[in-house]
Amino acid sequence: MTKYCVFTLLFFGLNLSFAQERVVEKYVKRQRVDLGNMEIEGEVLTPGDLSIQGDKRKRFRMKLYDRENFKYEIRNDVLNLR
Amino acid sequence: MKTYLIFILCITLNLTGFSKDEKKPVKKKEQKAKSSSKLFYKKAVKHYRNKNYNLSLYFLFSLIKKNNGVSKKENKLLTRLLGQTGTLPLYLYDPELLEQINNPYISLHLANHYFKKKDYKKSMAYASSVPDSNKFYPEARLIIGSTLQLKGDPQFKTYLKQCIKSAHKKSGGAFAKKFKLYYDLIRENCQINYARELYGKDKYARSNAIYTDIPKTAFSWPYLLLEKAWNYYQLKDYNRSLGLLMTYESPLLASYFLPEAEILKALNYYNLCLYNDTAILIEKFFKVYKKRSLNLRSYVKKHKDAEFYFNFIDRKLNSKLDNSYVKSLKNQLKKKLKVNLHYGSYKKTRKEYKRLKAKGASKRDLEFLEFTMKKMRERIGRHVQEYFYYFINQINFVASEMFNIRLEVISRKKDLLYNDKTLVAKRARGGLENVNRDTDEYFFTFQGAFWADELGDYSFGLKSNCKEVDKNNKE
Repeated sequence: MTKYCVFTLLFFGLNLSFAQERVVEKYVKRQRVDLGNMEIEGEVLTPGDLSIQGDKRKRFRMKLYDRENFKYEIRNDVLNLR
Repeated sequence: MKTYLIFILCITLNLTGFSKDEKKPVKKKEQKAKSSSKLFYKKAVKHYRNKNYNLSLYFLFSLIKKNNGVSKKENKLLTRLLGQTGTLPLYLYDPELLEQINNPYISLHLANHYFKKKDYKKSMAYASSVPDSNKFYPEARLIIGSTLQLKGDPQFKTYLKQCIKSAHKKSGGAFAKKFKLYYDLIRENCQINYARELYGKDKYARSNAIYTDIPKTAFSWPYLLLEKAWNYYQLKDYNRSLGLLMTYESPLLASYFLPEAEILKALNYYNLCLYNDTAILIEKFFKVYKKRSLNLRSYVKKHKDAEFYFNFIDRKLNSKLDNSYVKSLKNQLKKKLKVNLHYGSYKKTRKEYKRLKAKGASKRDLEFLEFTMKKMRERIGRHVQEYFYYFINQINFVASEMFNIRLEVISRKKDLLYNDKTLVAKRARGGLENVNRDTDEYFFTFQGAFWADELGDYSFGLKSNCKEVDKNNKE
């Protein structure tokens, strides 16, 4: 009998511990970043007597759209014949 | 001797008997085939005389399929029939069957068919078989020239030259206005391909000279404005480029909304360092155009049946149109050669069907015409549907490029701030001194209204704002 009691207690105990561990994490599905307001304003304060000249900043430039040829239009013109 | 004679008699009787038995079915078959071929041909001729061109075409192709080839007489009738129906009904027949026929209409159709499938070898072979005396010769040369151009073969020049020359000659000799327009359109296409090739080889000024040769009345002219504007952009003449793109704002070209023109406008402003103007343009794109494109996308998602889109061309949906994009696309499509030719074929078939129905034609004939019309509607509708999808994809592409420009503008502004610099003017506006002009180029000052003869010759006079100055000095 004692064996059964120990077993049932263990069983329920384990179940409870599992139940406690079940944590549901919810993440935001979409993050909206509003870049509409593009005004960037600010002041760079004049450095005092003690200042360290920093390294020149590396500029990363994004490759903007540049049309290389009109091959799509050449094919499309033939497709639009018949 | 008696037995010998009886033996010979038996043999001769047997031989004659056997030979009769063998020849009888063959002869019968041949006769049957001949009579049915004659019947098919007779029916084809009868329908042709009664102006039932689609039915006549059906009997003629049945005959060709049966005989595995075409006689001279049948080919002549086929040419006459296709002259009436156009090439649209040919989509109903198996290309393998069509390949057996040596006819310029069929060759042109097969050249187009294989061009669509990107089987350029076959496409060029069929286009080459169109003789120079034929009315489709310039179109066939355009197909070969374009194919070689896409492959990067310098031989394309020869074919484009032949196309321009022959189209010019045939246009001069054409009596009907629609044929003249057709040849002019083919000639312009060949000229434009030259200009496009020069653009690809960075010869922008020469490319522009060819574009300028194309008259403003040409059907393709509104699309050329964008290509010409790209040339000016590459030549760093941003003011001319902007002026050309501004032409799309005129009421006369209201139906020509080209999403790519919006990127080019933004790039021009960006290169003139007019960041605020770039920002305004991008904002406008996201607020106005993106919203409209989403409406269009939901509309296209709702209607997936190709036949539905045919109604745009058939003028049945006019009252229900509320999306300005749909209206604009519909107007653009109606000016395309393919849509005009195919819609013309459809209208003729519909006329034939109505006439036969009124006369009380057989159920089989009417069902065949109903089937033909359904296939034609689907074909035209699918073309319209594809155009809609292309437009939506273009808007999405433009949106991502506009976003990149926006990020770049932010980055430039940030750099100015970190370097304690500012641009020379807050919002620079220029004058006539900033307008570049060649000897053969016009220039008109914009007086608040678009004038038809001025379209395509506008130029902005904006001063480049790219000079950076120290913030403290300016203040």
